Amino acid sequence: MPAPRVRVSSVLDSEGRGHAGDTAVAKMAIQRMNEWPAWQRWSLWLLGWVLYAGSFWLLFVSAAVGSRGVALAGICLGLLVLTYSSKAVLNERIRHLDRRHLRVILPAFLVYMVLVLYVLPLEHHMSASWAKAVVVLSPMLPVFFIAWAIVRYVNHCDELERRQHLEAAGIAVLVVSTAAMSLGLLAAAKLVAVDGAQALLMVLPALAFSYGTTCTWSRWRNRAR
Amino acid sequence: MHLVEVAEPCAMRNRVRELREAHGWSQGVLAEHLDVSRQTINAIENGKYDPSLPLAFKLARLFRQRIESMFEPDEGH
Repeated sequence: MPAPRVRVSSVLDSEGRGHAGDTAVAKMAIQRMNEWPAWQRWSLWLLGWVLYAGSFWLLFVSAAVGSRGVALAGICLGLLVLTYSSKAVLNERIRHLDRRHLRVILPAFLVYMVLVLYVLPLEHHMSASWAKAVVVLSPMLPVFFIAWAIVRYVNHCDELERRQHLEAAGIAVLVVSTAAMSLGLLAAAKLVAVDGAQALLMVLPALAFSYGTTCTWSRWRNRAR
Repeated sequence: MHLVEVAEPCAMRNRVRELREAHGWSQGVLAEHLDVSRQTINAIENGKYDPSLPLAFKLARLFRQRIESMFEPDEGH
């Protein structure tokens, strides 16, 4: 029997007020986001990007605690909207697995951002000691937590998705390692100046970017119904 | 370099699309029944991906078919 179709309009009444059982209906409407009209899914996806990029911009241009708080909330909300709408754009339903993953990833990401913004700068006023090492390495705690959550997520994916993740990880390692080697050769020949610390800091973001891009490309090719 | 979805067509033919349509199910509904993603159903139906034995048995059980009547080697491959 085909699954019931739930429209967003059913969540609110004509005056925009909620009614009994709204939470369950809203949850179902979100889970069935893949059945929304294409323009709604794409609009939400664009909104997610605007929210995400705009919040990062706000984070860099303002040092005030209030606006940084708004920016952090915007980044988390943007990530939430982007994750859900990306699934919907690819004609996939939101599974329990996805919701559980987000429940772990979002708080961990928020903790990471707070540590980078407010704890990491403390090291400028500290002399070399174990305390400084703890402060400097503190953002790695949520990073390890996120890594664990990703491993758990991939383990619970279906067989095709696991294969896609494996291929994406392999390709990401190849891309980043060959790029690093090329850069290293250029730096050794003194053709470019490379800051070692900056280069090492870029390894994880570069891996994450290549991995994410490959995964998205792989899923995009299978989106057609 | 080939990714999963652009891999060469597999050496199996299947009747998944035919049986799914006979039941009036969308790919999404079948994916929910089998607890897999819709893209996995899409890839199986289009011959881009061969399901594992456990998934093939789940499909056969769901459609009340014998597994060999659902999947057969593509002799022309």
